[in-house]
Amino acid sequence: MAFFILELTKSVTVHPRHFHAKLPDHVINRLLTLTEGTTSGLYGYLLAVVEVERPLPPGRILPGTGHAIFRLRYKALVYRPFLGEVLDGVIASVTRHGVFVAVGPLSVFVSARNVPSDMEFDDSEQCFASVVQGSEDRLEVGTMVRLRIVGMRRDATEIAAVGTLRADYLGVLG
Amino acid sequence: MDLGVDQEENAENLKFGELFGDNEHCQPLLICEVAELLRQKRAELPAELQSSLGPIFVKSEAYVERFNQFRSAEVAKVVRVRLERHPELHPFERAQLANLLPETPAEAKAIIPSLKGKLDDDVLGQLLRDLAALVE
Repeated sequence: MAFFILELTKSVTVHPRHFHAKLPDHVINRLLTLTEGTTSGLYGYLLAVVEVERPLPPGRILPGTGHAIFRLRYKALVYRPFLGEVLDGVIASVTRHGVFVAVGPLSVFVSARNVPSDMEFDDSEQCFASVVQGSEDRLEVGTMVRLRIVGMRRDATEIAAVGTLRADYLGVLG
Repeated sequence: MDLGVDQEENAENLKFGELFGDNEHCQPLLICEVAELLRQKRAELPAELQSSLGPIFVKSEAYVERFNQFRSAEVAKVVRVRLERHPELHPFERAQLANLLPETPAEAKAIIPSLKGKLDDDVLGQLLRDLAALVE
């Protein structure tokens, strides 16, 4: 799973009632509220702001409203999946069409065509099970797997991915 | 289900686009380093705000706790030093090696294809054994 420390900028608007000694604290709190926990197709999942550049830049008063705008530079901890990346995850649900793997906040769909070639869907147990004699490998809720991302769709506030378990060194984690 | 292929980005040949390809302003982290950052973040919050952390934070935290192989901040530093000894490795490759801990050079090159031709199998094998020895 690819985590990054990324340098970003964000414009924060502040109401005039906050123009007092605690203004810097308020500006930073606004930044945290606006960014932490957000998802973007561009930078991925923003987990936390880890550093805000000091000193804060001077604010600019917006004509008409009296609000001030601050353009802040900050470093954030983000999780951003990439096409072609191999990562580990935990199976969150299983259907006959494939499995959904949770990789932190990201859900990766692995279609039945992309599960390991020795596995078949077992109707009675609602899981994929290995057909090889003596193999206990199963894909069921809670199984830890290693997959490669083979397709991704990113839009403004959402990321969706499809993956494969069908290749050497991918599949159920031992 | 076809989600379309993003031409600009591909981890297999280390193409990360404009924002993430810029090594000066973007640094990949190892899972063990993320674990430490998330612990700090939680420790900074007063008790009554612990539950205010959103689902993205909580899910990532659970993931990192589950897949973190190097338990302490000290070991995480040693892992980082070992990886930095190989300047020919891309920062993303370093993170992948420590996060996925392949057992053999062949496995490493299969799951991180950009490693092909970069390191001698002996050197890579030694690095993998060094990392494996640090797992707790």
